[in-house]
Formats: sequence, C-alpha cells, structure tokens
Amino acid sequence: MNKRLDILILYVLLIFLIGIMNLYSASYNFSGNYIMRQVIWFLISLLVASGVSFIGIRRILSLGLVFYITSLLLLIIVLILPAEGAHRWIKFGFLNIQPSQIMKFTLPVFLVSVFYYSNFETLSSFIMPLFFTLFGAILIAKEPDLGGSLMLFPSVVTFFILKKAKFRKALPWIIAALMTVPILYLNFKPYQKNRILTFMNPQLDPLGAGYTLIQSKIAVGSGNILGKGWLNGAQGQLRFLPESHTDFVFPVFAEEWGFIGVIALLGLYLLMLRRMHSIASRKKDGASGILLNLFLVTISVQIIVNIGMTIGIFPIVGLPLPFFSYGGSDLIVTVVMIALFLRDE
Amino acid sequence: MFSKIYKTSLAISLVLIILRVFYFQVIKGDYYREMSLNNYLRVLPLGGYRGNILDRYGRELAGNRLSFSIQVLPDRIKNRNEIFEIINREFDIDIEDLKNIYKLKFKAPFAPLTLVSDVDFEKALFLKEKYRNISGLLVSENIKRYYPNSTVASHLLGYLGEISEDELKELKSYGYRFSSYIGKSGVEKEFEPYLKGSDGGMLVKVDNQGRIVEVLSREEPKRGLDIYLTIDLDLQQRAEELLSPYTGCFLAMDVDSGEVITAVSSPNFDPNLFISSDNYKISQLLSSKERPLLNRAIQGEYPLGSVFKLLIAVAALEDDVINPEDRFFCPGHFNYGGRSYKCWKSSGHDWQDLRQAIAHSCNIYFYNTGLKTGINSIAYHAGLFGFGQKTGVDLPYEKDGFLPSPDWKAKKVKERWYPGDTINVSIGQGYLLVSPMQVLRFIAALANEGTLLKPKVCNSISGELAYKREAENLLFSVKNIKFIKRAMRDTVNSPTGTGQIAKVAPAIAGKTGTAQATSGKPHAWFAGFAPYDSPRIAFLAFIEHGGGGGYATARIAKEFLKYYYKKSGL
Repeated sequence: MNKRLDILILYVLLIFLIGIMNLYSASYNFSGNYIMRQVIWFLISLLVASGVSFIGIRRILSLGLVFYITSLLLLIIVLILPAEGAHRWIKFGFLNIQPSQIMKFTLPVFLVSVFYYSNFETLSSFIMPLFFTLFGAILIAKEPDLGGSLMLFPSVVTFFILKKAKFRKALPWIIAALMTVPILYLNFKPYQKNRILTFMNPQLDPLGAGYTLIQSKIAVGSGNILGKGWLNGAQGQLRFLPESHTDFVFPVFAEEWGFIGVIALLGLYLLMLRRMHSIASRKKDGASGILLNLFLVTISVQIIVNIGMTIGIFPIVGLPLPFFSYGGSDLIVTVVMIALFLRDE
Repeated sequence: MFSKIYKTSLAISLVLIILRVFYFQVIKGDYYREMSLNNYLRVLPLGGYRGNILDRYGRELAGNRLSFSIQVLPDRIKNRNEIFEIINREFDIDIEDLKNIYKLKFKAPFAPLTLVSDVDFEKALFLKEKYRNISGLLVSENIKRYYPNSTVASHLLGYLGEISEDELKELKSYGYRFSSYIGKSGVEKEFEPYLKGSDGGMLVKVDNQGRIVEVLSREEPKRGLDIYLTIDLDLQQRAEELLSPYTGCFLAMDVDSGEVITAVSSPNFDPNLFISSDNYKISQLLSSKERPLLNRAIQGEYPLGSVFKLLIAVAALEDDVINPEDRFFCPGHFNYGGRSYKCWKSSGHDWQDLRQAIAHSCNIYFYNTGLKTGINSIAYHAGLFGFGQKTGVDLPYEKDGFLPSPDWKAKKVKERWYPGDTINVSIGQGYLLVSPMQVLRFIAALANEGTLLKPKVCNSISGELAYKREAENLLFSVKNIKFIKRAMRDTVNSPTGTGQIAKVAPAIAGKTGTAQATSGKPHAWFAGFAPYDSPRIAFLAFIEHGGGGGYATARIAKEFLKYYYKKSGL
C-alpha cells in the first residue's frame, strides 16, 4: 500500500477540524456528545478507508456488482425494519448506518465496473445504467430521503459524459424522463411538495416548511461581514434554526464567521476539489480515473447543493455538508472516497 | 470535455453562492441582524400601576387589586382550536364568541391577547398547573384598577379604557403600549400623567420555544402618584343616596377656598365595569338614554330659572336702577308689547319689594327690574360671575353654557334683541344656559360677598399640595350683596318663602328655581349657602324635569345639610 503524502490530506484535515469546531457550536446546547461521536466516526472512517485503500481501486472495481447488490439489500432491509418516521437507518447499538449514503459510493463503482466497456451508441447502453440508478433512487426516495435519492444522478450523468456518450440517441429518453417529473411530483409526500412550494415562496408557510429557510436566511444574513464570533450565533445557539447540527450546519458557520469566514471555507473546499480533480485527471488507468471523477462530482454536488439549499438557491432536500454535518455514514463514505484519491496506482 | 464542463459548473455554482451570501450578509446584513435580534430578544413589560385616588381624609376612592386573566400569545399557538375548546370547557364561553373575541382583539402576533379576564384566584392557579404545556396559552396576573365604593363619585373619578390607536400614536413615547389602560374621563383623565406610574420591563433572551434563556436587564415598574381629592367621602355618599332616585346633580363647595366637597351626578355608573371588559354592559352604558356617563355638574347645560333672579338683583342694585325698597305690583301677569307674561303664582303676589320678591320668587317684580336694568348690564354682570364661561374646574370636558347678548343675537339669529328677550332672561329663561358648577360658584361668590372662586377637586398630589386657591375679587358693593343674602335667608326661613322645605338649624340661605324645559316637566333648582351667619359651604341641588317649586331639590338640600351639620358639629 504505497500511499502518497498529498496536500489533499491537509485540506481535508483542515476542513474537518473547522467542521468539528462548528459542530461544537451547533450542538453546544444539545444534550448528547456530538463531538465525541463525530471524532469516533472519523477514526472509524480512517480504519475503513485504510482497508479500502489496501484493497485498491482495481480490485474494488471488480467487486462492483457485489457492492451494488449488497447496497440494494441494505436499502430493502431498511425499508422493512420498523422505524418511527423515516426508514433511514439500520441501528447497531450506537452505530447507525445509512444505506442511502453507502449507495452513493457503491453505485459509481458498479457503473464503472459493469458498463465501462459499453459503447453508449445504442439505446440499450443508456437504458441499463439509468435503470440501475433509478432502481436505487426509488428505494431511497421511499425511505423517504429525497436528497440521498437525487445524489445518485450526478454519478450516472457524469459517467455518460466521461464515456463520451452520444446523447442524441438518448434524447427521446431524456424527454420521456422529464415528462415523468409531474407524475413523480404527484407521488411525493405532502411535506416534500411543501418544501418545493415553499422553496419557491418561503412566505407561504412561515411557521411550517418555510420556517427553516427563513431562519436559515436570518442566520446567514445576520452574520454580516465579520460574523458574531464562535459560539455566539443566536440563531443556532437558541435553536431557532432546525437541524443546525446536520443539514443546516452551514448557516451556523455563516452566522458566527460572517462573509469573511464563508469565503475562507469556500476557498478551502475549492482547493480540496481542485486537488482531487487534478489527481483524477492524471490517472492513467481509464476506469479508476472515471471512478474518481464520479466521486469528485458527487462530493462537489453535495457541497454546492447543501450550501445552496440553506441560502435558497435549491429546494431543501436534506443533504449533509461534507466534513461539517454530524453523521457517521456520510463521513465514512466521504473519507473512503478521498482515500482512494490518495492511493497511487 | 468533462473537465471543462466540471470546472465551468463548479465556477458558476460557487459564484452564485458567493453572490447570494454577499447579498444576505453584506447588502441585507443589517436587515437580517435586526430580524435575528427580534427573533431572540423579547421585552417583557412589567406593568406599572396607577396611583390611588383618595378623598380629603385619605380614604380610598380608587385603588389597585391583583387580577388574573387567560391570555394567548398568537405567535406561540400551535393549535388554536384546542385552546378554544379548553376555554369553552373551563369557562363555558361559546367557541364562536371566542373566535370573535380573538379576531376583535388581535393586534400583532407577539402581543398577548386576553380571552378571559378577571379569573378567580383559585381557578387561575388550577388552570396554570393543568395547562402549562399548552403552547401559546398563559394565565397572567396583573394589577387592575379597582373602585371600592363602586358607583360613588363615579363622574368625578371617571373611568379607564384601553388606549385607542390615535391616543397610542400620540402617547407612545410616554411609555404607553398596546392594551395600556388610560384615563378616559374625570380625575383619571385629568391627572393621567401623575396617576399613570411607569412600566418596567425585562429584556430577555428566548429560545425558539419562547422560553427565557437569560434575563439581560430588568427595570422595576413604578407606581403612579396618589391624588388626594377635596371630596369628603361621607358627604359624597350621603348626597348620592339622596339624589339616587332622580336625574340631576348635587354639589357643595367650600366658599372660601373653592374646594369641591361633594359632587354627585345622577344616574351614576360603576367604573369597575370598564376594567372588566364586559363589552355588552359597557355598550349598554354608552347607549343608555339616561346618559349615565354625562357629568351633569359640568357638562349639563340647562336654563337656570328663578335662581338667576339673584343675578338680576345684583345687577339692578349695582347699577342703582332700583332701591331695595322700591315696590312693584304683581297681579299674576305682566303685559308688555302686546304680550302677557305670567307669574308662577297666578293669583299674584300683590305689592313686592326686592326682599319679598326674592323670597317669593315673584316673576313680575323681576320682569320690571330686568327691563330697567337692561340686557347689556345683565350680560355684563352675569359675565363677571362667570356665566357663559368654563369654571376652570380641574376636570375634563367641561362645557361653558351660554350667555346671550344683543350682539350674539344680531350675528347668529339675525334678529334684533327684543325687550321680550330681556323679560325672559330676567327670570332665567330664554337663550340663557348654565352648568350647575357655574351656578354653584355664583352662589359661593354671594356667600363670601364678592370673591369668584375657581372650583377645585384635587387637593394634593402625593402629599405635595397641588391645590392653589384661585379667586377673583369682584368689587361689588358689600351692602348690596348682604341685602341679597338676607333675602335668600327669607326664602328658606320666612313662612311664605319658596324654600321653606329646606329649613334647618342653624339657618341657611337659598333660592329655588323652576326652569321650563324644552319638553317634559320643568327642571328644579335649589341653590344656597350655609350656615347663614358664617357661611362655610355653598350647595346646589338640581333635578332634571324635577317639577315646579323646587320641592324635591330643597328637600335633598335639607337632608344633606342636616348630615353636614351633624358631621361638622354645627
């Protein structure tokens, strides 16, 4: 296991440390030691990552089908298991794993390993990858976890682009898929519809679904240029902001560190993504290069969409901010992805 | 190709995010900071409470008591129907009514709204415990105005009401807020700035459930200043009893100082009602035909009738147009300019001099005297005694009555002044309108032989003497006034006087009056002073449509004076 001591490690550690500091503030008034647990998750993710890294990208790619089927089984199990509210977690004592997050990792692996040699010139070569992606996405949407479900699509689209797919062939399919959107919309849960409607106009329901977005904007906006200082963000500290330790950690950060802090954080994320992009581009082996690019896009989209939803650019879909949001599964999956960037093959 | 797409999309996304965050944090930053402060900073008012209103001996006329009410915080309500159902169950108030009250009283999402007021202490404690988990529902305790003697001196005290939007606009900087109570009439209004006290408050940090996380600062509320009135509660109560069957007023004033010792207007009302927010009863009170809220003593404007003859006498003597010994013959009627004017006694009074004419209230004598004196002199002298002007009593909404003159008639009625008008004015009829308070101080000025006093109801404010004697010496011939006083004594004490019913020892002096009302029975007046030998108080009894001869009014005055004498050891 010849690992590269890359500057990427520094970026990730820096972001993670800032994330921990922010999480400390976001969960300051909560019972339960989120920092301790997040650090334990990080240590576990390092263990898992070194395991995966030891296996190596090529061998992982050969396991694509196994990964995919395992993930599907987990998704089905989570739907069957009794749960209060959403069926998102499989509980092992204090370790709760979220199969939808695992799918975020296994689907790209599966796509690359199975469809790498497709020509993407016939219709069927489009249909199969899309079908497997949709299947996973529907299972995740059933939990319900709209964010987790939508996060599968950047991978498959990126895969097509990287494989220089002839999109003209797929055009009728894309149109057909777009036409199903209204039908899908009708099948959304009322709260999901609400979120989309209130995304378009938060004032529709200021105490319900719009509340989160309004509070989030207040948190971000009230940070002004310099911020209120660490542990001094009233919106987060006084619980006006729901989910301030998971999906809505960014507003906590923006409130306490202001515009300067936000620019710094985005800069760090940008440095991290640039480094990942250059590593992925330099891969000689085509398949592993594609896989890393799929991971890169997945992480990028997650950062953009998470921040975007807290400031009203995207609907609120429920996605964690990498290295910032509390949650083990996402952390493990992200760290494992990064680890594969560091593996020199 | 992929690299290009990726880099471009990432760049666009980041720029969008940065622009959006820049917009929120830099351009609209102050707006959101303000929103954030509003989110978590609350000012909880701690209501100040009003000073007491006391009688001249410090007995409580208006005070404060603890009161409980059921309130809701609109922006904290999770389930409005649940709250309505609870109140419906506990207080048996119709849900539709509750919805209406809510709609009617709603002012702002954060302003507490009272659904049930004046909840009994035990019940309040019970509900506080039972429903403490219902979001948006609260049992609040506050200090409320309380009038221990209910209707006694109600017009003088006035009443409180919720501040109107116009008043709030004007008074906001003085610490008034939504649902503040403010004096609407009487002493409560006149002395509002002293009585009010000041609200304190707590600046608190709250979490998203509205729970107090931290008290940032606290200012204690302050009680307003106490107002000591010139009123004697015993006398006031006695007068209220005596007047209660009638519509009218009874006043008594210290003839040296102008202190109002008794001021009753009937019918009266219970000012506690306005605190109860019993809107039905309040609107009943407001729309009652008897106009119980009208303070007849200063807001009523009536023809004065024969009491005005005293003024004619003063004017005639001062002008020297008659001698007290001059006599006029009264055959029961008086012909002038082709019209016949009657005396109240149709058989006539025979020959009358001034003293007899006052005691017997002979109209014919005063028709003659009035014509001799002339309207200009009558108006001049009436003006000196303050007719047609506000008395300046320290109470709001006083009316000024009306003193007619040839100029006024030419301008407004576009007619010249006829001698018939003078004849009417000579017996207090015609265009002349007076308020009872004006008559009272006129009588007091006779009693003290020439000092016109400004009536006062406030004696001191929190022990600091607020009362200042304000008086004007009228420089009348004391001889003339003494003569009129003697005639007034005869009115009560001579066997033929019209005010004999009021005869009481020590002797008093007075004058009856019957004033033709525009409709219904005539108004009855009886005004005078006591004791005759060394006058201490002037008094006035007035009954709307009380009938002729002033019997009822004279009887009230007598009963009052008996009590007054007994109380003052005379």
